[in-house]
Amino acid sequence: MRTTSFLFLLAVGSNFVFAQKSVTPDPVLVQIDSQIDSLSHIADSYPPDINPEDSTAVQAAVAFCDHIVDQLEALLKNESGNAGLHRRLGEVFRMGHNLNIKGAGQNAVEHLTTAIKLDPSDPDAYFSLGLFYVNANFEFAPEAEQMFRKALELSPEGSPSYAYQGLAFAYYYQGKMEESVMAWHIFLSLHPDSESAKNLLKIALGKLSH
Amino acid sequence: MRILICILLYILNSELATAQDSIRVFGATVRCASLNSSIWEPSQRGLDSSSNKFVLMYTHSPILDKEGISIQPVIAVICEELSSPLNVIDYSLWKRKQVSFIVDSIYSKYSSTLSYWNGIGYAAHYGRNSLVHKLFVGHFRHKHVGVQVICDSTEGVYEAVEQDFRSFLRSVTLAD
Repeated sequence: MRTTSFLFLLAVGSNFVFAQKSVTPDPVLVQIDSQIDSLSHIADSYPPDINPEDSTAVQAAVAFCDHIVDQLEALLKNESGNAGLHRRLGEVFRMGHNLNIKGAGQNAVEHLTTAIKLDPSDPDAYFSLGLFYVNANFEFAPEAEQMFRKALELSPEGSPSYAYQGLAFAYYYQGKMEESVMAWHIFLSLHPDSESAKNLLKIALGKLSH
Repeated sequence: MRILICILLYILNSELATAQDSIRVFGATVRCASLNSSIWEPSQRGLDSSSNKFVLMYTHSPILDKEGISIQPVIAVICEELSSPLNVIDYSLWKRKQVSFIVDSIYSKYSSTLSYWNGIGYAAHYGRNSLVHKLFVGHFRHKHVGVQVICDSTEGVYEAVEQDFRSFLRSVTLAD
């Protein structure tokens, strides 16, 4: 008589240990967060949600971005070791990069990296840096993957669901189609009505079958 | 009177359809369907001290395939405590390195094959001892708990257990 418990035996047989992380919420700067949220409606991704022919609108968005940067840099003068300020500044520069502000990309990486060094337990900084990498250049997809994975590892259950979307792109750009399909599945389990995600899952499945 | 009987039958039927097993382990509650005990015999239930994993395992009564080989399909639930809250993709990739199989399809709650959002399901196969094994596998995670569900059969008797495999995998949920 044959039993089919071979996989089961393999599955039971091993043990691994991972480092433990915790989450430190930062409730400071609610007003600036509101401005960052407003900016994100326009410039969270590339290309920004703004008519490039409308120079007045483009200038207004750039000016709004600069205004938030000025406020954060003023605060940072007195608190250079404040991880939350660096993270916010990095996030604003990331969106500035999407608005084609010169040097914004480099500033984004610098501030977000500093934020992570100062507070390695902040998932938002990893998520932001992941977004920058995944939007900036396909070559940065491995770095983006690492950032999204770290953000998920550090986050409360299911909260950064968009990190799965970022992961799906990061895997896709690296040709890791099976992983990309898995990430789209999880994202769609949380956002079943996302038509763009459904289409991107189909594309990844198409690449996987070839 | 007829209505009363209908209601009683409906309630009884609902109870049978939703009969659930529950495992409280490593600070999480894992729920899954109760299997038909006349064909699925519970062969293991408890903490495996050598691996520190909680194991729930059912073995199907023997089924003869066309070659006359007696096959006992298995459904196993293996729960383990994770030292870090791995995302479910990393957890699944890690488990697949240890327990390898060839993936035929990938499933999730989105595809309605699972009911728990933080899980990845697979229809898969592998070969062993001249037999092709067909299986459904689910990898689930909730906070610091990872759960593998392995529904393993051979190609020759797969049809007889496929529905049980699908129903069981779909029934698995994790909570605090």
